[in-house]
Amino acid sequence: MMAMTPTRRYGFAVLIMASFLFSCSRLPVIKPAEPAAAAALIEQCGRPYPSVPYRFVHAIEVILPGGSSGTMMGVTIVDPKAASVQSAMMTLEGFVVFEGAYDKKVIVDRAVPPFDKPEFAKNMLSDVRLMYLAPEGRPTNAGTLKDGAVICRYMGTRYPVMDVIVYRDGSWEIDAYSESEEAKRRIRAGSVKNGIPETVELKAYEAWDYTLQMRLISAEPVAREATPLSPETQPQRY
Amino acid sequence: MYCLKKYCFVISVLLSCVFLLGWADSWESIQKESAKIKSVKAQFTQSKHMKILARPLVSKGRFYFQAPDSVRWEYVSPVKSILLMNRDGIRRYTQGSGGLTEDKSGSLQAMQVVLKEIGQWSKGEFTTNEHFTAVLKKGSEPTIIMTPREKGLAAMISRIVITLSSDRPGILKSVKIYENEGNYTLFEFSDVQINGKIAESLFRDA
Repeated sequence: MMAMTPTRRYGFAVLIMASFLFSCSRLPVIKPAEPAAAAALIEQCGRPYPSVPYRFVHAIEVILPGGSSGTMMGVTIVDPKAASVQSAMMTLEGFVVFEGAYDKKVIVDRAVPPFDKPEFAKNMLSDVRLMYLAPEGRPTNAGTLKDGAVICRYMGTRYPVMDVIVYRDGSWEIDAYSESEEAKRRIRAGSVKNGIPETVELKAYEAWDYTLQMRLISAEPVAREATPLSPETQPQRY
Repeated sequence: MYCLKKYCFVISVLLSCVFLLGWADSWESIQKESAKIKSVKAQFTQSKHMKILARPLVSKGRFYFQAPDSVRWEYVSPVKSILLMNRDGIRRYTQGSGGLTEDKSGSLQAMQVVLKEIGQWSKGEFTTNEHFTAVLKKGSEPTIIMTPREKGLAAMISRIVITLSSDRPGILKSVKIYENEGNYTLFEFSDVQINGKIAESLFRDA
């Protein structure tokens, strides 16, 4: 191995530091809203979240480290009032590999190996809640970003820091950070039609990073009394 | 992962071979009719029924089979996906963010190991199948009811009901795979063409 000179060592350390800094996301700087405008901005931050029970069906491409990928179908029912979600994942052939819910606690109805680990259920349902259920309480900060996008920052909810960003074109982003302000989840919704995104990308930054590319198959409101296990819907397709 | 691989294998083999069923008065007649079928081409509709769904989730596609063991199982909607099985092995391609890409997860490799079982199915030898017991029910619409032999598989599939066409020997009407109460997948076949010519490239190229 070639010995490092002090200059090289310094350069190497700078490189490591730089890559570390780039890998750790920093919270975006918020230009605070005038008190009179804050309420309207906070209302805009509610756009990503259904206000009534909804059922979504997506084709979900799961991309794992190294680029290997597979596609599943996902069904989710969200009940914002109850703050509950139900989810099922199945292969393209229709075989259900996971079915569970979050209703104050994680409930697993069916889990087939390798989807039968408790951590999988917990993390998957946590991702679904992050995507569809608004953070509890009021944001600690609301304002705009440099590009004019509306941003609301929530602290101490499901993640230590959560940013909800609504862009001018109607698309949105939900970012979750750790206590050290390191990005943990980044959700980007695109091609929004009638308030429903045609595409959603979720990036998870963990020991094993993964990406979910979701393409909407259908979205429809669900009667509230039908949300748990006997769904009835008013058909509506986007 | 073993269970999922096994399920995928069983379903793939089942779906690729059920067309080989002959007109069904007895297991012997099934085996006799099966020997006559060299190729199959069909459309299929897959309807997924679950309590979480208000209406079935419908997928559509095309199916090709060439004896002894070449299969193309192709979804055209809502997600384009192609499963190819031939003497070189099994591959799956799915339309994703990067276009039509091959599944490199390795989950299909186990299926290759057991491809040889296709021979057993294609001969209509259901009663000696390693994974399922089979019961033939005669009637206006003959059915074969398959029940898993192993507990592990039974936890995933409670039973499979194969309904045969009542008036066309060798033609399958539907396959219903029950996972648990209220959760099943129905495959219905249409435009079934038997022993026509199918280009070899269909089993090789996505």
